[in-house]
Amino acid sequence: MTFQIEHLLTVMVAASALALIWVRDLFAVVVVLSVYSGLLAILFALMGAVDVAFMEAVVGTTMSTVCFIGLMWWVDPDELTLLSAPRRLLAIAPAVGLGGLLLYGVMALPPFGDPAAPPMVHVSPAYIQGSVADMATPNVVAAVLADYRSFDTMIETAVVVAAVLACLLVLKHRDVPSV
Amino acid sequence: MLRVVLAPLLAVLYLFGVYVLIHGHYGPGGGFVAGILVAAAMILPRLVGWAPERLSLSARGAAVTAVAGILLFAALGGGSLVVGQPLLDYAALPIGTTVPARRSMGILLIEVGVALAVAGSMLALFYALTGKLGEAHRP
Repeated sequence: MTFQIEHLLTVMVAASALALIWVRDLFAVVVVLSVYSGLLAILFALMGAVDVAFMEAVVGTTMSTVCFIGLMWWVDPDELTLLSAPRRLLAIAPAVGLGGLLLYGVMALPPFGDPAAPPMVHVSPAYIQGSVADMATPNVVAAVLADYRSFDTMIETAVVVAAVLACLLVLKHRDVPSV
Repeated sequence: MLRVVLAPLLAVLYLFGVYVLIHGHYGPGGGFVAGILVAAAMILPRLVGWAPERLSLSARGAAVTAVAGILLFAALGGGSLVVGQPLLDYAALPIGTTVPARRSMGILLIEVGVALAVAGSMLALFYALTGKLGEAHRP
């Protein structure tokens, strides 16, 4: 097997995920989480999903890091206590179980880049062949998100706005100046 | 010192945000990423304790912008219903000469709506999380 940068990156993603468990300082946790997202973004770009990589880089490494640092404003590190051992087990068991289920599901997926995979033979060819003629848009991802599947995008955007408005209403009752 | 470094960086951030928005038809990006970049340009100066009044929004303004963005999207989508076409059919709207041109312009307009919604949401979230940080340095 020849060396590929993807293998090194996958190992680094796994290592940063494990590091999250060992790191105890809150600020360090936020930084490691940001590194994790940055590595994922590079992996996505290498797999050809440039739009997803761009989104992961902007949202995962930047925006969520800023929000977590903002959240740390509310937390007094001295008041933080670790969960007791049985409770920790109660949290670890479902996490490991869910991870195992996901790995089990991944085994059933077609290999990466398989031209005979169901999504590759169903609607993808129609979108790829039609986007320039239908809406003069060479970027198929933009065409799918904003036209072919724009209903999904509209509701997703509404969900983002609704979630943020809910956050504002919850945080309004804390000791911050009202919005 | 930080402000001196930040000022040209902000210009690049705003410009890159607009570029990603209007270049979404031809390259990676689009409304969601553009909205986050513009929100980042408004958040960055606050992280160093500097709140420029121009090119920025108040907490209330951010929430209103978010809702305005989603309303723009919904209005464009509902516009085709008014003339008896399916929901979100941009070809039914009077925004271009040919059908591909109308659908291309429709994509750009809804991306603007998404960018407004996301930028407003992220800025409002930042204000809510960092009430003290965001408000304390206001003149």
